[in-house]
Amino acid sequence: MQSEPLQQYLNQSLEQVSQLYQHGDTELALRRLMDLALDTDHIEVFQAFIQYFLSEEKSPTNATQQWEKLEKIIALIQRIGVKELKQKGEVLITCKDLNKSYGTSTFKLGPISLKLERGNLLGLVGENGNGKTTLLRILAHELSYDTGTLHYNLSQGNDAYALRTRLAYIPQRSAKWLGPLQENLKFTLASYGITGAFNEAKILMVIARLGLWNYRHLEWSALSSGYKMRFELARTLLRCPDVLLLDEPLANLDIMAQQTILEDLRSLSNLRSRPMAMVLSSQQLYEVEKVSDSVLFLKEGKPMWKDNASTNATVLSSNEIQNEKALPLIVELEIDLQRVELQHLLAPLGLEKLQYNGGAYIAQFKSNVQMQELLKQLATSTARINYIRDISNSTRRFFVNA
Amino acid sequence: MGFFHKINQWALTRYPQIWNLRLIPVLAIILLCHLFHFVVGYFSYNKQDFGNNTRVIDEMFFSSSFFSFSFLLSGVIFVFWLNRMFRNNAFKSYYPLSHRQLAGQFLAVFLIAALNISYYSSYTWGYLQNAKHHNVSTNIEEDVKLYNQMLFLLQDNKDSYFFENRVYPSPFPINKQYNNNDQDNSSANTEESSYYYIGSDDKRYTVAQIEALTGGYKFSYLNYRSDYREITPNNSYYDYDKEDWRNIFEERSKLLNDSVLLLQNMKAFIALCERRNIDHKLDANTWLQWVNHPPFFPFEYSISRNTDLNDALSKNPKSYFVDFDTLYTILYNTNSLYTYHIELWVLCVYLYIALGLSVLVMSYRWTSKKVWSYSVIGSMLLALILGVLTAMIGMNGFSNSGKTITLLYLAIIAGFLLLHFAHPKKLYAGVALNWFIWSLPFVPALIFSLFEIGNDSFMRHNEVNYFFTSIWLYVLAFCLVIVPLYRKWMAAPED
Repeated sequence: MQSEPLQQYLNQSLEQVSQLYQHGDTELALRRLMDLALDTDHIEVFQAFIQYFLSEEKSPTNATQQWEKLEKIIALIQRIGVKELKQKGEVLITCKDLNKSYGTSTFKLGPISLKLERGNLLGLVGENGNGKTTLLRILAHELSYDTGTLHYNLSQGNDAYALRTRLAYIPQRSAKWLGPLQENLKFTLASYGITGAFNEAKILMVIARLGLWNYRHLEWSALSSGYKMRFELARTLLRCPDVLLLDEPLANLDIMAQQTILEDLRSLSNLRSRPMAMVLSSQQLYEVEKVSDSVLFLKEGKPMWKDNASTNATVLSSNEIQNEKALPLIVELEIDLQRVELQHLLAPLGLEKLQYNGGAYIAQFKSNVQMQELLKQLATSTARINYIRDISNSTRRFFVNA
Repeated sequence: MGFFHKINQWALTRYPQIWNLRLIPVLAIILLCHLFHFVVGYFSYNKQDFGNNTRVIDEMFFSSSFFSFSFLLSGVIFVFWLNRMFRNNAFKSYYPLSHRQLAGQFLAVFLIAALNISYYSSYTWGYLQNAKHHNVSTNIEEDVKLYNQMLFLLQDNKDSYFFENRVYPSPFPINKQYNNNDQDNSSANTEESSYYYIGSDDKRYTVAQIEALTGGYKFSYLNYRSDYREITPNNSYYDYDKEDWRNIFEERSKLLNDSVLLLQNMKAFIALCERRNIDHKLDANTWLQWVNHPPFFPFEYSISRNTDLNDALSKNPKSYFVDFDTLYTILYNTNSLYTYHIELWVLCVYLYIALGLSVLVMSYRWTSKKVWSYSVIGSMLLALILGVLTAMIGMNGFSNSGKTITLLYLAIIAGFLLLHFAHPKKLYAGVALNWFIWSLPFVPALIFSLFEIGNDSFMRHNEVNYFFTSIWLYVLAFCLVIVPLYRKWMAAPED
């Protein structure tokens, strides 16, 4: 019998799955249900899902028939219940005034101070060569630092090797997998003590969850970059790390793949059974900001926030970003107008700065200007608007002002 | 194949380290190869060849044309296995691995390396089984004993009975010294003025003096000293000392003085020849008449041991002969079959090779391509520098140069370990660790060399045991000390 909060969580989640399915968001509903299946950490549920995928693979059915099958799995999940092996909020990494420099190079990272909690997703953004990978590697205990303190709370004792078994770092270019993909995954899971039939069931469950079912028999060289990243992610998830550090996981992915993988990362970092802390570096600012609990912007190795003014290690959470009412309105805009024409159009709103990067304009207004006013003003022109986005609260603006 | 695949998958999900090392398939393949070598060895026995050529069992495999194929096969298996094993590396992926598991990996690699280079043992074993089947051990010890006992009565070469061969009593043995450059032994009894003798008391004796000492007989059965074609236990060389020769002398005297025993032995010898299908024409009574002339037992007659028997018989139908070559070969080879065992030093050589291979493999597996490449190139340069340094020390006539060089090497090996701990860069700390474990197997030899210089009698008489023990001490040190060092190094962040 599981606790009341867990039961409540399960009921709400199943209700959400049901609604999603009824509204036709079947793919998303299935992913949510699989997350719950992973939360059960139970072989019977995994095997039920595997049977579902095998039968769909053999003879695909329509949405109604699929739901009938899924209802049986839902009943099973309800009977078995979800687990809570680790709890959110536990501080896993604390670093204070970390600094790192490379020999004679003028580049210097830091000072960086941050805390990483279980269940948190930290977005790490910045242009190339600004220290994202360096910071990730330091956090992964792969690179030493010069000054500052870095403390891990991963209950590994004094054994540095054991510490690294709890930290998972996926570099931008991961090494080629040799041999069948499933063998690699089974080996990883078995190395972490999950053996026998449960090993095989969990492998297939994770493969299914990450949308790799149809690719499970392929060789590494036959996969696209996106699927390679997904398989790498599957392998890492099987390790159940406390901290997952991903370096540019969205590179080389198309926009749809980016959104899917970010959604997956978000939900997998928040699995009820075993939430993990996640740090994700990327240059896809909007996408990262959407899923992150916090965003750290690195410029020339220094953590930055408000108008480049702060050199303190400040990480603002997304909520804080939303609450910063005093920020001036900054928009990114693609419109079929010449610079002068656009300047003329926006001047009545108190345009303070207009930049053109060759593709889009970045317009900055006074702080009292609202987005609705801007839209009204643009509507007065017949020029075609291809794209518009409010980046007032986004780290995107740092790239612009650089 | 289906069954094999199932076993492999079973190991994968239950014993990942065993699967990763491909232990089941590689052991199965090696086992099959051993079986194959056994079969080839079994059928390499040739009855005719067995009676014609003496065979040193340890060398049989290496002198056969099959050896090249076996060497190639062993290499292919090793490379193929490494290729498969290196597909996955839990250590480099930071999967949980305890010291014990890592030590287990090393021991497994050591075992595979040892088994994969020891196909000769199966080949030899196969040969032995078939050869033993055709040459039963019945009476072999007695036959060899009788053969050795009667050997001195079968020679047809007079030189072996010349007084200079006599080793007992004193002052024998003596060494013939030539006055001029004529070193032809065959003229020893004709050109008396051309040589003299040096006794074991370092005195110079003339030919006449020696003749007087031997009682005036130039040839005697008692003089026979040649150990050529004696059959010793395990067919190994035996260095007779003075006491041995005294015993032999007394035994021969006793035998020659006891005509009943002599006749009995002669009959037994003839029976041995018949039992082992050796061609002969020997008559015990005639043989006894030729031999039994106490007290000095002069050498008067010879029994032909030429292999060209038909020729001997055609020239003189009354000639006595024995197909001595075949008798010797059969007894020697049969004796080899039943006294053969792998010598400890042979085992040491194999274990050192296996140890070297496994250490190289593990250092690659537990570091990285870069660290390993740096280690290999660095060690080559280091060997070159040390070679030049050694030559310089040796050429300059440095006193105790051997000891100095040995101590220098030992200091350098210790320096590798210090460098590993002291160097802040992970790359160089890894290179130093590799150098340390690569050079560690040479430490016993260096220490041995130090003791040898000091003429330590214990070390000289127990060298094989010393090296054998060293191997296992190294294995132990690797598991208990080296493994934790690699684990710690692997976990360390880069600089």
